[in-house]
Amino acid sequence: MKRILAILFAVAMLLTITVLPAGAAVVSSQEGDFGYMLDDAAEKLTPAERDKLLGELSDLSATCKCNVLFAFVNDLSNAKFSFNGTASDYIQRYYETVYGVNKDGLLVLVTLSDENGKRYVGVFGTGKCEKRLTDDESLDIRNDAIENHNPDSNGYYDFFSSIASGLKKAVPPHVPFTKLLLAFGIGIVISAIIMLILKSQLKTVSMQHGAANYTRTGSMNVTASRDTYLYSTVTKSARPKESSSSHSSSGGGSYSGGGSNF
Amino acid sequence: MAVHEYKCPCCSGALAFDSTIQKLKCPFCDTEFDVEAVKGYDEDLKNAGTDNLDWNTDAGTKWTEDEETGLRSYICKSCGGEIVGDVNTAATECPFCGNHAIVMEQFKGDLKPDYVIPFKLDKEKAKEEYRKHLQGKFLLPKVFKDENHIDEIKGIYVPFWLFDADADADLRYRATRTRMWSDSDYNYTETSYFSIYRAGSIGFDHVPVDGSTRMPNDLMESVEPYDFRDAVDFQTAYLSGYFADKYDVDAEQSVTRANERVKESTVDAFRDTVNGYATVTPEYTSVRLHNGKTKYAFYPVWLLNTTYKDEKFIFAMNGQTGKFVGNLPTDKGKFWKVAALITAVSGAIIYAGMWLAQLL
Repeated sequence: MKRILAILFAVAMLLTITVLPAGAAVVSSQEGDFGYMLDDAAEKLTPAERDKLLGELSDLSATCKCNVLFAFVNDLSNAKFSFNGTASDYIQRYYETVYGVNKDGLLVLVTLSDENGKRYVGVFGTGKCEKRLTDDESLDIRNDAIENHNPDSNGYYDFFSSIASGLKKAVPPHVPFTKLLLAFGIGIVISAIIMLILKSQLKTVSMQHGAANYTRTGSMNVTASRDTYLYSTVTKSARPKESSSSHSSSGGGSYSGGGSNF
Repeated sequence: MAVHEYKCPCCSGALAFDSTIQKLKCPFCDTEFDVEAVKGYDEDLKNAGTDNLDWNTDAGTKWTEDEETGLRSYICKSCGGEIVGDVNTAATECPFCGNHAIVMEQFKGDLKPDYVIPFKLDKEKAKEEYRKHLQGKFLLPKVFKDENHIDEIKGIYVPFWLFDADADADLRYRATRTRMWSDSDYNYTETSYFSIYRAGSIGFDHVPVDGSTRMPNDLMESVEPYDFRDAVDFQTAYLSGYFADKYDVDAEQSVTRANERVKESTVDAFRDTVNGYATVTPEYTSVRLHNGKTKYAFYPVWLLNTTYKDEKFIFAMNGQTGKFVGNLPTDKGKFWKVAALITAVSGAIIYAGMWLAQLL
């Protein structure tokens, strides 16, 4: 009886835990339209830290209304998907394998050894998050994590947690105060136009412009009409290039953000 | 002999000196007064004088010379009443019997108008157009509409100077045309510059300028245009039943305004011949008038007056065409409320749109 219960428990655990890359603690969940995943292949987080971080990823997914993938690997080997050998493509192809190409999502990779053998952190956005997470915001988040939550002194949980917090501030849809002022400024202009039109209904007395009503019919006679070309000038302005925020994965997905060595 | 009684200021009862309190006391309301307080009665008695009912009958002052020259009085042929008008009154109404009176001296010699456009529309039409004028005006105070009280409505023949002229014009403009194209790296804009010259002539007939200082110029110009085809040779009989003033602004004074209007229309007419350009800027304009003629005419106008919040509002209707004009008051409270509402609603819609764009 005990044996049967143990087997049933193991099966139940297997149903809730999905393993993609070989062997490591990979936890994922789906809530509504979006899911979140933590792959601690490097095993630098304690189980308690993983649970805590998973809670933060759940919150991040709900707040930003997107998928979230945080991956922590020792190096770029052992991938169960094809990629072009770079750390950025690794995480992007990993995400595409789990959630699909250009599906709304945030993806974070920390690897202790990237294609150049250096420690690397990458923070990217795709789908709607590609516009919401700019390259500069990604850089700010990475710099803050590296400078103020360095894993060598604070541990990797603190490092990942600071990235999750940074993404939670930068990514959710919000309209800055200046745009609020702009919206009401436009409202004032629209109101002024409408009120001026309504007020003009009340004013019907004014001096006449000209005497067009008293022109003698057929009296207009144009005796000279010359249109003389003088010269021309040509000006040019550079066309805006595609935003450098966009990067493409080897799978064809489009991403914003970037990575840093530290 | 006259007697005096100290009356209580509070209840008019007779005051008596109360020896216990050494004051005057009213036995009815028990109010007490110091003797000093009622001393004033004795003072008033000293200053009182006897009645004097003589009147000073030197009322009024003499007319000044200027005032005398501005006034005229006429005798009504129906009732003999004296009608007082000013020096320009040409047709009026007796205030005693309502008889219409025409002052024939105002039409002697050069003062006789050449033309008149008789009234085509009556007083009832003027009232109807006034009511229509008030409709559909969102910012008009409701009280103004509801009260709908016209203080006065009169049909007036307004003196106008009519100007005919031919205008010769030379005009030069600077104009531009633009062309745009792009390649993969740049957007290009080519601007071509042209010098435009136009010359020619144009004629104007019967440009009206009102010849009365009592008629606001903007009001009289607002009821235009008049159709001169309805004009007839002037006869005083047309004035009967209406008011009229002869001119007090002569043709020389009016010609400036006529010239201004003719020049504006000449410039506009030639500007309309310059087409196909992105921008047209006048560089030089010369308008020369010749063959100028002036005529004097009476044009029909219905004038209506009303008062609202101690402010007079004057309305005018073209007595020939029925065009009705007149400025109306604004309901300031409603103006600001509606402005705030539109600002809030449109601002909120735009803000919501910005927020949705972030989500999409």
